[in-house]
Amino acid sequence: MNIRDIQRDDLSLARRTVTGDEAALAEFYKRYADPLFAFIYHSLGGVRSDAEEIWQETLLTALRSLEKYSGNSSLFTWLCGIARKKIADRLRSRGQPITMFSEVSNKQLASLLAHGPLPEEILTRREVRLRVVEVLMELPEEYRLALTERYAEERSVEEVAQLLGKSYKATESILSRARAAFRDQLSQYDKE
Amino acid sequence: MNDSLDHLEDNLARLIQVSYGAESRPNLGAHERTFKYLADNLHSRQSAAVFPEQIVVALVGMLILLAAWLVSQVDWTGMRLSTTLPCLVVACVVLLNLLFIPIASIVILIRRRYV
Repeated sequence: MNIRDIQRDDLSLARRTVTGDEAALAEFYKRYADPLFAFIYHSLGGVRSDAEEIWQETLLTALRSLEKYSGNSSLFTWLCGIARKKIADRLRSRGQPITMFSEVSNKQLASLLAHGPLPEEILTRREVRLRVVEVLMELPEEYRLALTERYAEERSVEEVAQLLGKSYKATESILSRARAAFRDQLSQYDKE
Repeated sequence: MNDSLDHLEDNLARLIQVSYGAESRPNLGAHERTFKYLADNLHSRQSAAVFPEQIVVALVGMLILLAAWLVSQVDWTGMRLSTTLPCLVVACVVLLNLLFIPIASIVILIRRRYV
């Protein structure tokens, strides 16, 4: 599934949700609620209470203006745009500075992945964590599910295989392709 | 080559864990509350009356016609408006609509601010 297919799929999901289809809303929520929270949480530097509030506001605003989504970007990118405005409003209302991230080269990060253990300093950077969430959302669903279940949920390969409904060997192969796809996507990733 | 693949797996595991682990996601309670909130909102939106754009255009067009008719009823030499009943009714309708423009604008702005 390439980015065009993702956008088409997103547009169809958005249209079904707008008509009041609760199953579509459940799918929309299942697909985007967690990554959107992670995006907001890391954007705010890990302040959970604020993240939860902005996350709910973002989802509600998105639901109310879903008919404006045109499919020109992925739905996740569109949701992140709404979230960014809400985060900026919140920081501005508190007189806090809107921090610009220091740029870490994507190619450099992608190449670091395969050359020795990543330094702790890289792992703690907000922009790196945000980028990981965004890159995960650009992967085909099967790859994303395999990677998040294996590494975020820390499930065994057998458990991931059961979730995907595949054999152990096939799951190992999916995980291997998903890791390579993640690295490729990361090296191509251009921040808007 | 194998070392490089091992590093890729270890590093990815660490990156995904810190970026998308349980701490970076909402808990079950937050999920339940939020989904219910969104579903309720979706239902209330569906039950709200839909106001078709064609009707808005027709109403604006009618108002412009009424205003034009009103202008045609003005006695320009004496700068007076005819005081017949239809003239007064139309004048009231046009005036009320003009008065509601700033009020409606403020209401729309306030609603947008808090959406």
